[in-house]
Amino acid sequence: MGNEKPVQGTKERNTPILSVKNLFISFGDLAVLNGISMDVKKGEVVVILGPSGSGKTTFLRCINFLENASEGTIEIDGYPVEHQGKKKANKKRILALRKKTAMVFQNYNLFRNKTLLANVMEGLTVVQKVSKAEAEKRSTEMLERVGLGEKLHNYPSTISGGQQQRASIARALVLNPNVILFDEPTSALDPELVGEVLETMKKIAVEGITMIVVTHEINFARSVATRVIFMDSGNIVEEGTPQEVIDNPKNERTKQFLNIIKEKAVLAEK
Amino acid sequence: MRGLDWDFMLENLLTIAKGISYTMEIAVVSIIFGGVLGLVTALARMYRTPVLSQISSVYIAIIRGTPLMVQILVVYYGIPRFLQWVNAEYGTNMDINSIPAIYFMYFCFSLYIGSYLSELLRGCIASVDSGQLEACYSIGMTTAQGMTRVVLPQALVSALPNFGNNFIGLIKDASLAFTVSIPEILGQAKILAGRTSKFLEAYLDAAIIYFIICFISQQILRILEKKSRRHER
Repeated sequence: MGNEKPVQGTKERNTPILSVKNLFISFGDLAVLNGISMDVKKGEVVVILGPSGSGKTTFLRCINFLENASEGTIEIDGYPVEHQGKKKANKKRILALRKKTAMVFQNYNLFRNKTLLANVMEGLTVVQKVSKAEAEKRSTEMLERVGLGEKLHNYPSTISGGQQQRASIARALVLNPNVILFDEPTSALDPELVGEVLETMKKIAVEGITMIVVTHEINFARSVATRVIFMDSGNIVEEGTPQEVIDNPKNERTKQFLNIIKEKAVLAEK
Repeated sequence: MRGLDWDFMLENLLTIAKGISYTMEIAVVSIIFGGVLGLVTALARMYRTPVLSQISSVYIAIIRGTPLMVQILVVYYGIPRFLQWVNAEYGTNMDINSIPAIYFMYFCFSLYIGSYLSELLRGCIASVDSGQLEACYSIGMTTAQGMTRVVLPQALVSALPNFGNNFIGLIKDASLAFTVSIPEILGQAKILAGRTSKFLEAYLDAAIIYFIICFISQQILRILEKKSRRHER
């Protein structure tokens, strides 16, 4: 059942680590995703752009089954799981799939009743059954890496939004997932805190972590993304390298949207 | 006040204080069992567990729709009758008269407070941000793990002030147990009053004792609350 791990080395380098096939979902009469398919290779940084309501967040949440699509298959590292709408028949497979991913949320969603260290350790000890000492060591290192070595024993409510988001990146990263999903990671932040989070994300992108990022940060997309996808009303309208999509968009809708975003970016820089 | 027998009140304060242990036993035992009952029924209703959620709804409706006084009397006279019937029907040989009346009160007060705590806990669990459970899912935790490790600890913290109020209420409600001859605080006062005909003095003593234990309980709860909120700055 695709349960067995592919033997290292025999796998072709071009085999996608994540493969989304034919994802359909509608809320009531409104079709949110119209049969989306996408392959992501190991180490790729895919940035998804698009106006609000285009379905990008829903798409991301379907990948780890936080949202149940009516149709479609998600395959990560050779492990396929089918979407079956509200029926949750394949609970065990969903759980197994989720262990291959991690997510960074718009509102951080750090566990409020736990310190930063405990937040990062949680997945290691509870899900991956790593020993406490080992988990503590790895979590401390990870928090140091995102620049929070001095806040190990702070509770989330005592630190800034940017620090919380960096901690939540550490919580995702420490699990060593096949892919990390970023759901508008900077949208809830004060403007002056956006930079530190993007900096952290750039750092891990360079290390070859596979990332899918929903964001409006056009400059981040240009400098970090290996591929940019533009979505509109539940479809992938355009896709390609940052240069292709951001600097030379072919689609009318993409052009329109990018003009607005670019203007904003220019204004922000001034 | 004129004519009030202060000496009598002072001498008998300790006599009436003998009832404290019964009062506190009823309150503590009931808040524990009632808390568990409330949690189970709250979860059953939130997750719409078949059968269990319907039973929970009916149970809560009945308890909230009848006076505690009536519940006490029904339990006190009903349980022995029920056990008699079990004995006759199944040939068991339970000695009904040897069951201390206080056990009936544990049962009754647990059911009573459980229904209120169920509503309280349901509200508190629902008020925990849904993103917390999503974050649990995102790192591969099960619903049960997320609930016990993240959602419930947060819900219980926000439930604690109301939990405390319910506990204080329970201490006072336990005075109703005197009707089935439990010698708790009010029960002791009644006995003393009947024996000496100093009614006002005896009941004033009871009032003083109730006030003291409620006051102390409130202080303890306040400290607990403070400690449990350490992560909220």
